[in-house]
Amino acid sequence: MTTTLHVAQQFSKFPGGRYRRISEFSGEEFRERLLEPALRSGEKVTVDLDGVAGYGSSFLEEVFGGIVRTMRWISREQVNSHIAIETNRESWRLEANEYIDDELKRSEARKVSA
Amino acid sequence: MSEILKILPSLLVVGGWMIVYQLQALQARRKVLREEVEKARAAVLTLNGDALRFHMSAHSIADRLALVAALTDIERRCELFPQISVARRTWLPDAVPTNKAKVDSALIVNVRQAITLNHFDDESAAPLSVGSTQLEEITAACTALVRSVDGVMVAALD
Repeated sequence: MTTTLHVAQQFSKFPGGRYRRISEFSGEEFRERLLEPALRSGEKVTVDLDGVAGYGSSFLEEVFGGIVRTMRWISREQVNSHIAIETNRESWRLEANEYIDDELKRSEARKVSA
Repeated sequence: MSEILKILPSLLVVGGWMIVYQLQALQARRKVLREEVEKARAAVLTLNGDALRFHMSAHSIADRLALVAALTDIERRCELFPQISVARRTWLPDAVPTNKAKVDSALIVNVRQAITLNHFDDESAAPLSVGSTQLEEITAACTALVRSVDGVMVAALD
């Protein structure tokens, strides 16, 4: 089963910054309130990014880098089996994947140094 | 033979008309492309100035939203270039080869990251000072994007 989360319809057309304490409709809020519960229900989640006014990089990093950190994923295969990104904007897809890959590299480096 | 000679002038007229039509269509698409490129270029330069002002001033939520919307608008404009340059009819040539009309999305990502990854959300953060590295990064990323947009402009010249 796959669940689709539409950011524009289910969260906000004006996504905010990184953290709840400094911004309304933050990446942290999206991740904690929508993304994590959907993933914890065991379903694969597709995040539909389209339909919003735009994203700040801090929002995208907190959602996609943040979900790799909180779910403790360590490989691309693991990420791809749980989450997919849907958007017509190539740069949003590119950037979201960049944060996922960066976080996977960091977790790999932590594993090596441990 | 005489039959062919009879219809030759008509064939020449039709052939000439087709060549003229192709050239006019090509020129018209290139002109539209150049106009869109100029608008996108201006939008990037405006964004550069607005982003520097945003980071050097007291935090404004309205300005933050405007910057995010401007980034989306620039990406939308850049996405239009290949769409404009591609001929609608297969027998017409493209205004510009698709690979030359495309702006690399990584450049747009770089601009967004330079402007919105750090020092963008926190209302209590102090404004950046003139020598800040982030301000230099914003200008460098915008300049790289403008150069790429200029490349499309050069390719679209007649």
